[in-house]
Amino acid sequence: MTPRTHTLWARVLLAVFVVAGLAWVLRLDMGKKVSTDIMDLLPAQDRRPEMGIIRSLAAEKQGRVVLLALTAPAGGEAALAPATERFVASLRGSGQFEEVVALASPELREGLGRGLFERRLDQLFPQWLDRQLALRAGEGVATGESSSRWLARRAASDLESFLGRGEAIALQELVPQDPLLLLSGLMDKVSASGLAMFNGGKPGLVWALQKGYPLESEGQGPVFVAIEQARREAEALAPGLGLEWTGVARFAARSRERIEAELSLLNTLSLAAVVAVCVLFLSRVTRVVHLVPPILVGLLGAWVVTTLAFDRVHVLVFVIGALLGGVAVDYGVYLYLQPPAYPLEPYIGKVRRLIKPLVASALTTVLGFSLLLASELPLIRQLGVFVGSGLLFALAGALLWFAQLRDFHLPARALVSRRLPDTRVTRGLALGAAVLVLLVAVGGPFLLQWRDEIRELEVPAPELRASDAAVRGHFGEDAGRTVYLTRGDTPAAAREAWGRFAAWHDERHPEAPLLSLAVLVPTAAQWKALSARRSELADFESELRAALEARSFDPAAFEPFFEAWRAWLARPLPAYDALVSQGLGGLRGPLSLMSSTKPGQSLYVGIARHPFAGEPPEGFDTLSTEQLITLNKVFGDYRQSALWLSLVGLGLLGLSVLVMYGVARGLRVFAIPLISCFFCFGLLGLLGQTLNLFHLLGAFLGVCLSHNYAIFTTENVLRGDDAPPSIRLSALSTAASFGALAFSRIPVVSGLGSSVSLIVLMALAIVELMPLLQGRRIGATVG
Amino acid sequence: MGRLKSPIAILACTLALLTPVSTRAAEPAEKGPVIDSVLGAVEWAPLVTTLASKGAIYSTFTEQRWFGFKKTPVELKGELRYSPDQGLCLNYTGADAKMVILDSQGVLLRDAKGRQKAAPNDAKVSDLIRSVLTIMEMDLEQLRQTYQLHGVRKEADWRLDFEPRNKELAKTLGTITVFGAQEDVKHLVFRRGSTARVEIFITATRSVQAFNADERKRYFR
Repeated sequence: MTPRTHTLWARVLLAVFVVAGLAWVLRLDMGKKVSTDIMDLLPAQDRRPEMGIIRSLAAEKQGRVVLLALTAPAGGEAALAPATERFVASLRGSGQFEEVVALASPELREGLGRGLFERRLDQLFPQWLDRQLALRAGEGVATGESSSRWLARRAASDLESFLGRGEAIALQELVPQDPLLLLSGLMDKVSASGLAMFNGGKPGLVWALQKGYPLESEGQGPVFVAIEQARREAEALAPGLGLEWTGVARFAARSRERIEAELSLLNTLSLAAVVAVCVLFLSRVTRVVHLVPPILVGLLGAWVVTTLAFDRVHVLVFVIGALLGGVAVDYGVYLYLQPPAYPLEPYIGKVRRLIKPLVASALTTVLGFSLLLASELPLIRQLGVFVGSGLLFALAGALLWFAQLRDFHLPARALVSRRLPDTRVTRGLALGAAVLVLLVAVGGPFLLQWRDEIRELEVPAPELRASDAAVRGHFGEDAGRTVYLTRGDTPAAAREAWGRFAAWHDERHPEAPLLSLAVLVPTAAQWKALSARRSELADFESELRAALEARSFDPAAFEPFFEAWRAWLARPLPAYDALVSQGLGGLRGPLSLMSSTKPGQSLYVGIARHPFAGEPPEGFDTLSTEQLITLNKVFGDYRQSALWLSLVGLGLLGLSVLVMYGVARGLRVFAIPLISCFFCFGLLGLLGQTLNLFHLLGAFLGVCLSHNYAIFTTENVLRGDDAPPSIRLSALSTAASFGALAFSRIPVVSGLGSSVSLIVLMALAIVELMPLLQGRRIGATVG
Repeated sequence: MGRLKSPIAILACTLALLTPVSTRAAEPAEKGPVIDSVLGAVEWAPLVTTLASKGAIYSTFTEQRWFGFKKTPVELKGELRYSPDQGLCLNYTGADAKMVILDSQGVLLRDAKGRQKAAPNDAKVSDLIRSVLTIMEMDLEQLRQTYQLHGVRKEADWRLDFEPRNKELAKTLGTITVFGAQEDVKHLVFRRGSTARVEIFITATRSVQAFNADERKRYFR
């Protein structure tokens, strides 16, 4: 085949790929394909309880809640109530909200109270009966006294004691219908918890549930417009009215804006940094433009393969993967800057000469990244595919692109090829630097601290966080209380787990017992026992009448209760799941979030009036929301898994060079990325940096890059040449482009950038200083 | 414990402590005419002024609670301490001992073990406390603004009826009737609805110079 034919084939192949690739990418529905939803970073198959709860919460109403706090200006408090009413009416009329409730409105309390009253015998009586029978068992049973008689005597005695309490006067209308004090007992539990129901009815607080999904645009813009419209209408009644509000939609919209801005800025900075380094080190600056197409082909290939392989890709993959440019440019630089072996060497000859190190470096890097496919985290799997495929396409793109150029060699400036002078001073300095590097690499990693938080995946928005905290403070959410989530596969399992957790919790915090909607329903065991127990209480009515009479009550006054009792005895009991669904399913407002009865996603929220005091132990199926907010433990586990994968990858890299270059030479090659990596961690440890999963990822990427330099240098050394000038150029351009990441406001992205650039610079330093450390010029002795 | 404990009892005992009272004489059975500004100034101002001009007081009382569903009342006994600076403390003695403290900060409930809880001081409770304090202060003009006052005398015995003008307050507090003889309050009745009432009988009262540090710590906030 003639060079002309090679050029033609290269052109055709490149054109076909670019057209097909662009056609594929342009027809993608980006809204569906690319996600900014943090839930898409979490694996679907993770069975840990916190993941189950997170998924339940994300899928349920909790994510659609909007909290709004209206505040009256000084002297305008009287107008707050009507303004709130107008605000609520406007939100309801906007069509953007499924439910809007003013917390001070009596409808919530009355709705709850009415429902509880109507179902008190189903929901509260089984627990009362269980408690009383347990007490009876503890006291011992009087000979011949039936359960009914004992219970009736006990109830009458308790009722008489209750009448001595202050609340008896307030509840006196209820007593004839509830002589067993089922509802009063419930109020005692609420009171004992120290928590105010509905935040004490503070005016101006509005709880709303938006219709649209807050992580998508239709759940953001229209909601913001509706809230602003409602605010204007309310302000007409209360000039100077203040509004603070918070919701997932607000954070999601800000996050999307910032990530999009980050993507643009980082891409631009990265490309500019690479071009700047190239301009600095290369002659004929205009020809630097030939380095760009292989990068673009690499990026296009990465987009195509990743979007083909995954239904949904998180935007962070593209943010991080955009820096593929800094890696992909290596192949073009190596190919373009290598001088011909002899004048008029054909391109195909040059390729044959350089293909081994090019393929070795690409394949070993891809091998390392392909291990990431074994990670549990979707983001890491997607990154593995993006970077791995991108590098292969970048290599192919470089080979095909330069095949089309008449002049496929770009001479570097002298600066690129200049070596450090070989003197006693420089050798001494190199030795000193080597000792320092080894000390840092060996000792520094022991100082490392690790912490992973899901919040580090987002762009910080301190003003939004402050506003969110302020609004939640109005609603009574503060650091002085702890919220727990107890889950179960069924409502019965969740209720049983909650009962066990509550007993454990209240023993440790007797002054701040747990409060939850779980107290409104019996356990499945209590419900099951009720059928048999009910049949033993056929004479309870007559016994209770007698017991009341004995204590000077007027039994006739309790006829409303006895009517309800008789009707209840005659009615068949519903199934447990139906009981829970009836009892909790119709709750409105914030109460509707305090439990979920969906199969597979049943949970109860429990609140306690004490600061967070550590996670509950295993075995209670309960987490605090503190753990859910940070997911520290979950990401810590992922980090462990990623660490193992990285170590295996590193081992495979080492093994591959040992196979290719033999033991002695292979170890020298492998030492460069290894020392660079440990130096990076050592330095970060000495600087007191707290590392996360993405520092690990960055280190892995940096090792693969520095591995390239090691291979390219070795190949040149084998030929008796100095280290190729392309390494200096590659390393600096990579460090520059990843260094740009260090400016990112997303903590994990800046962590990734700083670790890669540190490793790459260290690898470059080792390659530069190695000849001095070896004490002879490269080329004098090979290997 | 999230609700104002027996506002009726608080008010009743507040009035009771203003004078040393021990015995009950024949009480006017029916409420008297409305006390207007003229009648108030002439006939009732001297008594009200006397009732108001007291210092710290210690008193014992018996409280009877009548409910429509019970034939006999629930009887409680307690001690009352009042200090113009620190407020009012009702210490219910007996098996289920508890304490209610009412002062400018609101209502505090304290049990026998010393555990305490402040009742939520929302607008409704604040209004109630304010209404009670108005009676404690015994300012006739203020009383006439908050309540429709009725008064009647029968020789040395007298009867004052307080009917809240505000409908919400009337629903919460009910009507208050105070019976006295000469310058002493002897008996109070609080009615909510037709079947329920609370009656307070003052058994002994004495004036106190001031409560000592231990008493202040134990019985006030």
